[in-house]
Amino acid sequence: MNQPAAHLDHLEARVAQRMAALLHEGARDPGHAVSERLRVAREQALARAREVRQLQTAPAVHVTAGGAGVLGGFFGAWVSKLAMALPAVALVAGLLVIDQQHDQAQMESSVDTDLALLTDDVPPDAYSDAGFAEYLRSNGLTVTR
Amino acid sequence: MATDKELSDFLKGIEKRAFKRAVYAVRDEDAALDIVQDAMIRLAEKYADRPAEELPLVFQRILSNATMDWFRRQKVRNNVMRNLSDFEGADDDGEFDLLEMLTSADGALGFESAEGTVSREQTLRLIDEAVQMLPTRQREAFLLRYWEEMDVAETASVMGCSEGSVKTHCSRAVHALAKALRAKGFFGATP
Repeated sequence: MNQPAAHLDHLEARVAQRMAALLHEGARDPGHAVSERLRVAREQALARAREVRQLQTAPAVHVTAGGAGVLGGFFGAWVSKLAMALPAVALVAGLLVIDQQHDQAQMESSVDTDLALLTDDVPPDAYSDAGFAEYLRSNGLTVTR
Repeated sequence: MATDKELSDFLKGIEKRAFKRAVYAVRDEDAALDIVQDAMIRLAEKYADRPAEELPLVFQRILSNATMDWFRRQKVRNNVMRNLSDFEGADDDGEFDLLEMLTSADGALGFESAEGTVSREQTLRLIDEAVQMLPTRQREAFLLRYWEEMDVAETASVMGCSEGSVKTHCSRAVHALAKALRAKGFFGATP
């Protein structure tokens, strides 16, 4: 291969351009049916582009729980963000309430036990005595705490 | 942002070549029309807010992707790649003088009805068939570079390859096309 590279490149490009020019000519008229389908496709694409542009430029409209419409660009965007965050906030608040109720129930249960022990005729230490426990069993009584 | 008119003019100017490019790839006019329509809608949905001068590059990339998606959907891509790869091996230019062949092709293409035997329509048909027979990457490089008149960097960007690869694909495509024309007796004698 001792071809002068630059000349070969130039020649390649020229041949390619001549071929492409002929192809241009051939593609100019693809026939009525194809041209029509291309026109319909183009119009559909343009309609879609208009829809997308309208969505991008139209002011945001949000309807509140009461049904009142809130309009506005910047304000609307904030309302939109807030509305998106609302379910997460509600979930966290719900978990906190459940946790608090659980703590309250545990506290009330231990208060009842303590109260029962303290107001009983028998001192609390008696329940750890093996003889007293045997006495309760032999009399068909059970220890409830 | 491209205006409605700019987008419309752009699509109008490119649709026939896009259709032809898709036909070369899938060899089916209906499928090619679907691909072009798909590419137009994708452009309108996602890139209509881009400046008008960016549209050609973006559209070519979308069209390539839409074509690949079609092949994926058809599940025939492997088959096509195998068939086209048959042509890659036929790139043996050592047997004859490249310069001489290209010079003959250049002369024949430059002067209508070379040797007075081949009409312009026949020439066009020959080139059309030869382009269709090119391996996918060579055809893409050739059409983007010389038909869509993109520069090497833009072609590389659309094809997702290096500029060196674009030059190689283009060079091989031109040689393959010239060989195909010569084999059909368009110019010179087959050695």
